[in-house]
Amino acid sequence: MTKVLIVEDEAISALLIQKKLAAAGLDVLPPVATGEKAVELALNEKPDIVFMDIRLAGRMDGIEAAGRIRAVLPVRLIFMSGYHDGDFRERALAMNPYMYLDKPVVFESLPGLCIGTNAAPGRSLSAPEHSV
Amino acid sequence: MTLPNSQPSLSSADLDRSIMRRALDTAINGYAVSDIHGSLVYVNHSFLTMWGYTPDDEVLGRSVFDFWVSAEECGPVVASVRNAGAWMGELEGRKKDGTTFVAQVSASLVHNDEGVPIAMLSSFLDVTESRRIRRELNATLLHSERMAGTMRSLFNASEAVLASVEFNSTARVLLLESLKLIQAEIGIISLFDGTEELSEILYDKADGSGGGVLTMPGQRLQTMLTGLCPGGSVWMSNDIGQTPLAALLPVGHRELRNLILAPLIMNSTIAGILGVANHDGGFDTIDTETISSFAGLASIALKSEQTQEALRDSVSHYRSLFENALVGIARVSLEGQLLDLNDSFACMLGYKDAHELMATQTRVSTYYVDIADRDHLLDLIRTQGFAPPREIRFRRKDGGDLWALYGASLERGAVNPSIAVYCIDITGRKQVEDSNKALVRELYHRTKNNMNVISAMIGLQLMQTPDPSQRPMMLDLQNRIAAMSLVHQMLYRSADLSRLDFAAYVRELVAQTVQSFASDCPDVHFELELEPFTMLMDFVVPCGLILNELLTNSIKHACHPGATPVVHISVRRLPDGTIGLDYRDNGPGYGNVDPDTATTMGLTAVRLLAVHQLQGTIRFGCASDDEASVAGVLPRGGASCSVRFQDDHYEERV
Repeated sequence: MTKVLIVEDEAISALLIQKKLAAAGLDVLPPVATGEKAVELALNEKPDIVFMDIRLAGRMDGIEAAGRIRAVLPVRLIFMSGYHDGDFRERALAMNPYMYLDKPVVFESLPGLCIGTNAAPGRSLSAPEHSV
Repeated sequence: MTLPNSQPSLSSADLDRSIMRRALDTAINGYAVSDIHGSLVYVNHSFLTMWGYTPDDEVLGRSVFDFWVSAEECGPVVASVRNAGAWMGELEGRKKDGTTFVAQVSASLVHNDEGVPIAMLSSFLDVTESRRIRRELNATLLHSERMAGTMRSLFNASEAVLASVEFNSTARVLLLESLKLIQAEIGIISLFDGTEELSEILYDKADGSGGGVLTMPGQRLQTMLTGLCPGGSVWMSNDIGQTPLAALLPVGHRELRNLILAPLIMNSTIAGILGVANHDGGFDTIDTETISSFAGLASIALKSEQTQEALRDSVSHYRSLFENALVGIARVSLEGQLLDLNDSFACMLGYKDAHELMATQTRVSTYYVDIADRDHLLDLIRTQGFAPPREIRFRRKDGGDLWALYGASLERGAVNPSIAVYCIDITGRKQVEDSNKALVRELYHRTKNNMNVISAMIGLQLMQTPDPSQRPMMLDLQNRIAAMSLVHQMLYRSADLSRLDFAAYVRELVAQTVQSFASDCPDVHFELELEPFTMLMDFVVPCGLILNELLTNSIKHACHPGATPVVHISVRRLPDGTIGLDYRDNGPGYGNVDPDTATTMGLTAVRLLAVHQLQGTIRFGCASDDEASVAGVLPRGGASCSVRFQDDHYEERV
């Protein structure tokens, strides 16, 4: 089963993402709020996909955390950001992520991921898709 | 007017009688004719005027002697005319009121056809005024030639020269220089300042003979001296022991007995006193006139010096203003070369001082970050002669930015026209503005985030709700929140923190709403006619909520298997400034619901948003009712809604 790590400092948002992805049939790790914890958990749990918010609690931002994880694990990165600042976006895109999503994330529209409650669960992100 | 049948011919007798007589009557010169004994038989109008008579006065028959001051002068003239036939010269006339004047006279004897003398004809011209002017001119010339010499001897013969001048040290120097100029051998002259507590009068001569010191409060001396010359007249005494001045003379010193005081007049007030004094000989009226003349000259010289001084002061004053101004000031040639600038300006541009900048780069264009700013400025200068202050970005020496409030004007007065520019450093203000903008952006971002969290809460609730009938309500709520959140999201990204491109907003709102319904209704066809214009967020939010409700209704009602919902949205600004928002779909319309009175949350909100919040009007209808309906595109005549409002009841707040 595809294992997913959610890095998001907003608890409610993190919970919703967790529920949506779980409902889609993914193996979702407990969400973390800081880059440091994300790196630690990722290295221990070796997820296939990391949903990464860019601005996080703590000192480390999502891009740095993603870089540290990537340095060790071949994860698929899905960045989520409400910030359109050129700097963040460019740095994130430079890491060649699997997706770059604007917040709020509309799960219903994710390519290859139909997670609506009336959709059949079990569709995974494992099929290769183009990056945004 | 009709002419007589026979026109009379002009004989020489007529000429004599009529025309010549008329010529005499109206001549500018005075004319008079007397009989051979000197009794007047004719005078013209100018004669009467010259002597001050009226035409009613009995002048004819009187002796010509009555009209001249002196019979001794007049007798020989009459004799000369009788004997020699003519006389020309000047005589002093006496007017009717007794006053006198100088007349230029030309007289001649008139003979009859037989050559017998019958009358004397004289012409007169009043030359009093021209004589006076010539005399005064001569006198002035003579006077000025004599003046220096007379003054010199007067001052040299005097044992003391006093002067009291209210002016500054320049005036003292000038007065001394004037005295030198006429080569007066004055060694020491003391001028006292009327405002000083104590003053001295030294009355020494250059050779050191005689002398003494008077010391007394300057103000008192000034008042007394001024009192001696009331109204600017010259005061003279050959025995000052009889005057209050005697009290000033120092005990034990040679007594000065003779004194002339003349006021120095400036701007019609006595500004000082000039005086000369001696012990022996006394002064006379010529001395008085001399010192008076010198005082007059000194007044003029002082006045002129004061003007010069004011000019020098003014120049140095402005130079000092220029150099010490906190505002940056510069002069630039029309070719864009810096001619002069102050230290403030140089420092703003990151240089130590004006000198360093002038030695480094004097091409003005190199300091502009955007050369278009300079072109625009030059355009204004050329067309209007000035450029009102604008915010312009310059490049500092260190490569950093200088934001400046920058204005310029053309200096036409000078021989070579140049541009005067002034500039205030507003970099600090710009930085504060930037940081304020960043704060506002952050606030928009957080607002948006909070709305997203609220939406996420509803989403979580939605997933746990066992009753499927609750789902649409929760989705509606999420969409309403999303419509508002989008405004903040777009403002956060926008350079303008108050206004949004409404067309772009509508486009994103549509995309967002469609996404939210993607699972229920994947194929909606949109026709968007979006005119680009910006609107304050205060108007965008209610418009967004209205559109969200209408879109939700359309998708809910128009979406069923086999049908492709079509939604037409048009936004535009009408010529009168009103904003028009027109919405149509091809669904079943409102059915048996009256949208004008419906109490459902959605339609109630739409009406309130349009009428209450936007202060506008709203009209619901069938799309086919609408004359602008695009037939064919909306074949079934679905629901339509038109909103009109003015976006002028809110003002920019950020």
